[in-house]
Amino acid sequence: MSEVLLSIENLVTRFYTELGVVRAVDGNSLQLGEQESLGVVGESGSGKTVTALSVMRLIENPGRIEGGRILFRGEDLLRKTERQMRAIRGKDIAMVFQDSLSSLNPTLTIGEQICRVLKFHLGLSHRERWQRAVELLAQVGIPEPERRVKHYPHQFSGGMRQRALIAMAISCSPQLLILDEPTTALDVTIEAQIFELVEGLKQAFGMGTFLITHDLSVVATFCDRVVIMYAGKIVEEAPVTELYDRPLHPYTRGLLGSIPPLEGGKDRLDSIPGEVPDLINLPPGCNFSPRCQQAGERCWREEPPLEAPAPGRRVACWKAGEPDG
Amino acid sequence: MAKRYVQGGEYELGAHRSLLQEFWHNFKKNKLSLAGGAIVLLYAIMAIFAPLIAPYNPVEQFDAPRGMRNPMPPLSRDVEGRLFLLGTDKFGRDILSRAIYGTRTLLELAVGSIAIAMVLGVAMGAVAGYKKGTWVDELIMRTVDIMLSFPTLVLAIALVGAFGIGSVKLGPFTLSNLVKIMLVIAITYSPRFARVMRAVVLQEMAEDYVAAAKVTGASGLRILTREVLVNTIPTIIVQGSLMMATTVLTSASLSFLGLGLQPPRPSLGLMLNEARDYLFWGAWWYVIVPGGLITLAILGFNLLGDGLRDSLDPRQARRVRR
Repeated sequence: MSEVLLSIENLVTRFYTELGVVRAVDGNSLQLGEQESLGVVGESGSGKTVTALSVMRLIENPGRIEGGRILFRGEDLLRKTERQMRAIRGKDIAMVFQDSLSSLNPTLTIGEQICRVLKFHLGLSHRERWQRAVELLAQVGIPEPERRVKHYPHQFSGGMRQRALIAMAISCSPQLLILDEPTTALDVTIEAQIFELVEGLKQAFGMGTFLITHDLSVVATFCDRVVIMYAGKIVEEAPVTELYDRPLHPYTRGLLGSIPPLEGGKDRLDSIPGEVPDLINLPPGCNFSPRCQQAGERCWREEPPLEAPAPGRRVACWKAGEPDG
Repeated sequence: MAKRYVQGGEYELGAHRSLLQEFWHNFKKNKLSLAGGAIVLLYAIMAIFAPLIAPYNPVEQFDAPRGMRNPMPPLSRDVEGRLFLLGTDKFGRDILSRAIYGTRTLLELAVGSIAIAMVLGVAMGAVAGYKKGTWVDELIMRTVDIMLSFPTLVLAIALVGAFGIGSVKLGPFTLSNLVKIMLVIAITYSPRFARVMRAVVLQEMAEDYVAAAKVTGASGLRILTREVLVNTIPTIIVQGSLMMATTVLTSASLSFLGLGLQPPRPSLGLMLNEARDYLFWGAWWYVIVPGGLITLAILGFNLLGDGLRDSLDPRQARRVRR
């Protein structure tokens, strides 16, 4: 792995709701190298987005980051003041959200919104900003950028809006780009175009990307390394190719089993029985044990530690690597 | 609408409208709100050009010819043969001219007090919404609650009682009676704006675009002033136009009660008050002219407000309904 860009160590983020304490992120550690693409995969509520928002330090009441360190280029983001964080957000670390329509301010033109980011982080004169906004739109493949820059979000199609958001995100040449399910609201052809675009920008800007998704097939084409999360914890981590060849955690195997094979052959897709556990009342032992077909006595009692069976691989399972029962 | 295919397989709509065109397109669909707009426009013209339209000086008294006495019915003439289209009042003043000038003061009052109420209320509501959950929020909103617990007219009467009738001396400044009444009405209505504003600010602050702005490094205050406030404008405009109708009524009521504008200043509310004594003498024109003008103004503002609500943003229709 090259230089470490982002290193999350034992991050704990909890939400203190009226119903109880939600352990959204429960002591996770992960690293992202410079220009590396990391995929974070998990079901809804597994803590992917909360991890990203913790990096951004945008966890709001009743949530709190309770422990751990988030090192970005060696500096602990959790020790920064709010003012210092504002200078980092959007400039060094940028983020793109899932829903492109609601992520843009409906009453401002695309150009104005890009210019605001530029003005805040880079200064520049009014003319320079507009010029840069047009360049950025061109860079993300929006046709007729001179005309488009004056349009409002509702005049853009979904794919174009997502492109505009990406343009806004890369406007200050960030080193880390967090993509939170950027293509969930888009159809498959547009999805492919967006990832092609991000791949190109990644090369051009030398960014590291942190892709949050629940789609393992997206990860396969776009990421170098994958982290699988379940109920607030990392359960497996592996380089992409190895994960598909030899998944160690039963949950990962379940996820891979629910992707339809290209050649057909199966009439029914496998699914994982049961539901994601309630984050307020987690089961004893392994969080996945109630749904795991291989779970044994130990799994119900003790929580498995995240261990490294091979270089670059981590897995949290007592029965890691054992064949399906 | 023509769809144009562009690079990348994504299409766009051929015609792009500005937000203003969009608004007009939606607004003109509703004939009732167009009618409301027309009424308001007519009143505005009448108010602005009052000196040109009014046939006589509104405070000048004319003498009834032999065999008649003031108030004279419509289309009667005075001693010198001057025609009074809508008749005269008990002092022999031209009702048409008084009604036109009365409309002018009524609109001045309504517009002025709504403008002040909006500024006060928006400021209170925005601060409360931004400081949600803190003591600042509590202080502002509980004050608002207290003010709203009084019926508007009662609160207005109490405030006039506190200020006194007529112009008010405040240290080195003297508030004219008109400005004082504006302030009184503004104070009674500002809590409503504050409540609506706070709700809209809270709602907007929860939108994704605010999170997206935070991600780009904008501070909370910057987000409030630059991003959120623009998005509250439609709601506030709608609230203002709907409230305009009730301020018209409140200011007319104050005048009617003798707590508002003072004679001889022409005021529709005062005219109604004076006309009351002549109602059973058969002087129907004396009541109908000011009463009708007040009613029509309220109707116009309400229709316009409804139309604005539906057309400024379809989402707002659900939001503002009271």
